[in-house]
Amino acid sequence: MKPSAGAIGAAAVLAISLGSPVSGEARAADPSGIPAPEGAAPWVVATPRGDACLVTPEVVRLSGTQSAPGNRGSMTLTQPGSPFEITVDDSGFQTFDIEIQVDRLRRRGGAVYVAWAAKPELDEWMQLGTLGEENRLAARIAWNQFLVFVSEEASTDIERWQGPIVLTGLSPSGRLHTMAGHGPFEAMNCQLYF
Amino acid sequence: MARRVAAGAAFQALLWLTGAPASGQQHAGHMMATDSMGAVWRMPPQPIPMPMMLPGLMGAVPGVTPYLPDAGHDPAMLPEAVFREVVEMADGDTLRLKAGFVRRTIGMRTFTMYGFNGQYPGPLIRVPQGAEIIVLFTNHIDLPTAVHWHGLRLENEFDGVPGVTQDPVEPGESFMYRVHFPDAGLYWYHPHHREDIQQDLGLYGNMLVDAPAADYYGPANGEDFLMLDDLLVDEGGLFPWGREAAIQTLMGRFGNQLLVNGEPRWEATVRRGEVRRLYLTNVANTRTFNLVLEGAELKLVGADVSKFERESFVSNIVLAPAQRYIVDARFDEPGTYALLNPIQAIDHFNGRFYPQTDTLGIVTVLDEPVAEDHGEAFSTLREHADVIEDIDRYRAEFGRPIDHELELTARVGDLPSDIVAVMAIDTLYFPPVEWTDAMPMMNYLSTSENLIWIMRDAHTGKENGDIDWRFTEGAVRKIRIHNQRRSFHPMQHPIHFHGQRFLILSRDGVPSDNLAWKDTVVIPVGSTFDILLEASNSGRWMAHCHIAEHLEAGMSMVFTVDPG
Ligand SMILES: [Cu+2]
Repeated sequence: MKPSAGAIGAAAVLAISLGSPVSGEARAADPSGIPAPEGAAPWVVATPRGDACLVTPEVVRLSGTQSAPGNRGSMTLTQPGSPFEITVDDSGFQTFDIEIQVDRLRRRGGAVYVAWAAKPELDEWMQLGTLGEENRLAARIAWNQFLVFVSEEASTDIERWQGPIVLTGLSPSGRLHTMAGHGPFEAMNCQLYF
Repeated sequence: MARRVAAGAAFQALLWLTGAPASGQQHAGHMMATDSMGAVWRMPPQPIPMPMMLPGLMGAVPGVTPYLPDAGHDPAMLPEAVFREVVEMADGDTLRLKAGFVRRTIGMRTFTMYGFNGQYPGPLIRVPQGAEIIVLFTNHIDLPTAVHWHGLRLENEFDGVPGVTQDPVEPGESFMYRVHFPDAGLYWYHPHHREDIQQDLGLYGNMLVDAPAADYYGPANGEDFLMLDDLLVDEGGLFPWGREAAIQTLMGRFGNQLLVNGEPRWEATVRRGEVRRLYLTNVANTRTFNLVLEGAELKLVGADVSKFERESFVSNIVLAPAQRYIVDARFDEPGTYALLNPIQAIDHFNGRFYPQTDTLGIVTVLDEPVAEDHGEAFSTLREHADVIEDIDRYRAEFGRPIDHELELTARVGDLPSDIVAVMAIDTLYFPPVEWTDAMPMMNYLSTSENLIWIMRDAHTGKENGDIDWRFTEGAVRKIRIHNQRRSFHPMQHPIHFHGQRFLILSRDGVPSDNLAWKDTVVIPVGSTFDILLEASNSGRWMAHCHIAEHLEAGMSMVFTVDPG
């Protein structure tokens, strides 16, 4: 999706904030220009997987947050195997195998990074798992529309996120809201994801 | 400032596209598009209420004349259709098949519709594998027609495709079909001429081809044939079709009354512990079903043209138009079990999905044990050595390079420019599958004259009727089909190859691990499927999207299989 005229400003800001792609495990200068919080490790930059922007609707960007502005990653969605060509569950929800790859994450010593998915109404959520050393995580989900986010936690033994959110993203269907008067994700800056 | 105004107009247009109120804002002056028989265009029924519509398009109607079967005539004068008969036939037998008008009572309402031999659905033709029958077909409806024998690898000249294998059968005329049944399994027949109208009005029937082996399938206590359909009705009765050309070509015609075997509710009574074999066929114009039989265990046994290599337990069954599945269901506990169609529909206005579940039927399980308990056989998943051995002959070809590549996309003609402008920016997200008509007004105004659905040969750039694939009988070819996400309004397409069979090798690069021979593969939006087509049957054959309105809007091609 090429950004429309109205999106160019946001896209440009995004490009500046991310800096140019860096390959390999490397220690990079803080790309956001925001000083690291006290006790935080330098940026960990993993090998980027192609265009950091939205490549296809099956790969969506995970972005940093106000409390962790330089973080970034991606979520790849694929259809799991099924005897049918269309994989939905017995409620009609599309089933996805998702793979989260965090390309840049400021890790705090001793912290664990837990990924979550939540429905737009935030009435249901699930823990997807913990980011491994490779900053990767795989999970299966049968929701059509959801937020994905990573929180920084002291322990994985939690039922709900407690620490700061350090990465967020939307399922591809999150883009529905840009045509429909900002529905479920109205607090999000949608342009961030394209 | 200018952008703000434009955005406001686009937003209003979107609201209008996604739906409009059924009353209160209609300009009667715009609504007078009436055909000579009294059919009138009116706003299509809305799945969910929407608050506004674009003023400039208020009252707009499709650019074709509305059509209703035998409109203006009294349905009371027509014979009431009767439930279909099972016609067991042997090799060499002859069946007389007549397409004609019938009176149908659906719910509490009476409609003028079509039927084969005065039945709904058409007669269920049951034959032994290898049989050949003669069908003497006569057309007593008001439109030219023909009968296509879906999924059968029969002789090309009897495939029933006007313009490819025969001339249409004009009203009052007849045609003799010689129908051959080489493969065991579940098939169906339907018109291949304006099927957006004719099939929708009730011209469809099943064919079951029995294998010689008694244990071809696992044991079952009984069988049910379920033809899944929908019908679009409003306060005025049947919603009109387009006379000169199909309407609703954007999404296909979604009905708002779901039907099983032509009835709003399928009912069955079984004993506790019974295993029922369900023969499922989707005969809807465009609707894909997601079937759940609440509380029953479901075992998937077979698909279009063969059994699967291995049986598997499933929680739901997803059938696109023209697809068939053979499923065994076991009912362990007494009570009632609902046959449901749970889907997640899209609400474009609020940018979210909402659940929608229709009840298609009820199975009552008596607290009385079945005489012959097949529970143990049911709980065992069988491996079908016959299918595996048959497919083994083709496995060496699985890794062959892509021989042909099709892209599925759409092109706009003279749709109202306001709509095109809004649709042009509606490219941020498309669901893999459209389960309902989320844009009924937009769909209503699209016809086969202002929207073209396209199968494009990615290697030659040729489209639809210009594609000229040639195979030699016995050839095996790998075909990649990609459903382009970046088109005017992408949608899933059930692609059907006539007269042949194929295997689905992979989807989105992931190899299939349990194969069955098929004749129709549904490609979700954005997906890429590789199929292995066995060109086993010579002639000039059609391949096309089985959404009736997409077919009418151009989405078909012809390929030739030369005798080997
Ligand atoms: Cu189609």
